[in-house]
Amino acid sequence: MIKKICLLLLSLIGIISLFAPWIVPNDPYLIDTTKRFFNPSWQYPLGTDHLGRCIFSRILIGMRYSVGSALIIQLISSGFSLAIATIVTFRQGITKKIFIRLWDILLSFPIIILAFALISVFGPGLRSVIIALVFAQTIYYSRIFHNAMISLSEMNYIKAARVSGTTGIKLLKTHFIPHILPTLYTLLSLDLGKVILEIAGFSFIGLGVQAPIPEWGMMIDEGKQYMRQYPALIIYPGISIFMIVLLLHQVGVKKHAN
Amino acid sequence: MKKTLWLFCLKRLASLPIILLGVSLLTFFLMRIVPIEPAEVILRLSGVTPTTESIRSLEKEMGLNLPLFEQYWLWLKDVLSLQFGTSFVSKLPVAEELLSKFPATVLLAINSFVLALTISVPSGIISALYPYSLINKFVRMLSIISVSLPTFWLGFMLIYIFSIQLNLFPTNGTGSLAHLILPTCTLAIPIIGLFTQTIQTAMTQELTKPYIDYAYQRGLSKKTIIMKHVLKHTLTPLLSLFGLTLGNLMAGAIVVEQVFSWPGVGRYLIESIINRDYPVIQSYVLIVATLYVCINLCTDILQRIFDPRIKESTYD
Repeated sequence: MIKKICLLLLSLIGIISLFAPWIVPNDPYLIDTTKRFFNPSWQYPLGTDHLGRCIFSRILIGMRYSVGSALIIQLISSGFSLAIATIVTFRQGITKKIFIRLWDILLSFPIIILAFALISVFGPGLRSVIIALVFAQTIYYSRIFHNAMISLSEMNYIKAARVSGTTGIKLLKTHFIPHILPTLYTLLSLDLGKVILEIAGFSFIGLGVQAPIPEWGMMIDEGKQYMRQYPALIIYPGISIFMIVLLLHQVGVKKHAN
Repeated sequence: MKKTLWLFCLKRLASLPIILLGVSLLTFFLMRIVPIEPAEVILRLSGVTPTTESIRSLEKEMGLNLPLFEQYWLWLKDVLSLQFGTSFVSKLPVAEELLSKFPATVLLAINSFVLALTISVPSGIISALYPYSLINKFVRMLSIISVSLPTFWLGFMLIYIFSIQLNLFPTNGTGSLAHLILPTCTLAIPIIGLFTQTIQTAMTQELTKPYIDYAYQRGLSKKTIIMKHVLKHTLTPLLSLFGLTLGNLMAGAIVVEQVFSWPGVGRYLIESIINRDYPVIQSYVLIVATLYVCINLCTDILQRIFDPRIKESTYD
């Protein structure tokens, strides 16, 4: 029941962020210093920020950046890591050895430090955050998928399929992928929340999305100096991040429990 | 028994230099694929408009025109004698700067780690022992909430409530115990959630095992069973998680330091990334990765001591 409600809310959020540019009540980029720090009203549902911009509109648009880029990161990295895991599992010899050594080295970093190093290579910005997180997630996932595939290939039904002449794509498609998918879904949904938190964190410390784009972490960073008088500036974006990650965790955990 | 343990330790220790070599290669070449040339960065930072000539002469001075592997070799020799080069911005030795800033971060990380353990171990155990109670539901709810919170936002909320509204703690800075409390809590809360959940799951599984029934049949008291058997079997496999988390706390501290203006190494790293101060970034990554690898090694060995059943083959 709870899971269904969470899924419903999440799909609602998805639809809203898809159509956000058409349903926002005000222009999220319009600076009007005569309207600073307005209280919530019908015109501005959550009030206005230090530059007179509508907080509600900025949160709606910001959702596209936070959730959208997290989705992109998760989809790309799961694709890459499935491909890498397949190659390493089916190729013996030097390719396999190289990858296993690479994993040993790369996984000896804290994943997030690796992301920091990559961001410093490409310079601050949303694009480098996406590249860095895709890279970090791919290393991590490909190892997990590889381990899953290795234990699958020890299974009798896979051996039987091999003996009876199933090879290549068909073996992969009919016998490996269907058994990897549950792990993939769980990782995707559980880590989606984590990735959203990471993107927001990077934007907050000034390495991710740059102003004036209304990403949630960015909004908290902008609002922090007015926290004493106008805590609304940081409360609403924070609650938005929290709610989405909480919903994702609920869905992920429940799926895992099944 | 003892002999295999020693052999295991030796094997792991022997693999340490290989991994560290890989780590150093990676950090070195990561900083060499940057789209902007380091010499150009230095000139820009010192206020000189970079020309092709000045870039070339500076590169020659810094040895950047040598073949890559020779550069790597020179750099590795420096690193092994603990010389990490000089910062592009402050022109001071990176080793000194990092050394003066690391203690604050380590203090924060270790405090949060200890706090997280002292809270999550009892709460995980209690919620596993009483699976259908109110306290179990409460602990589960809290732990899900705490892993979903953005750390930096949590920090600001704590500042808002405890510093601005209640005026209990200072908002930022360092120096006294009161300064330490809010950052430590901020860093610890997500970890408390994670640990509590993991301990609870592990312990619930352990309690269903047949040997527990057997121990009850023999007439052992619940307290003895929990303290003497279950706890050991539950926490030993979690040692590696604890070790990994301690390493990750170093990274987590970066954001928290930014919130509380904590004068640690994390804020220094962010500044350096924005200024493209590559020697600092490089050294930071190298040091943290080395620490992480060493912590992992220690937890592996500890785990092996507490639970000799762990197969050696997993590490070959």
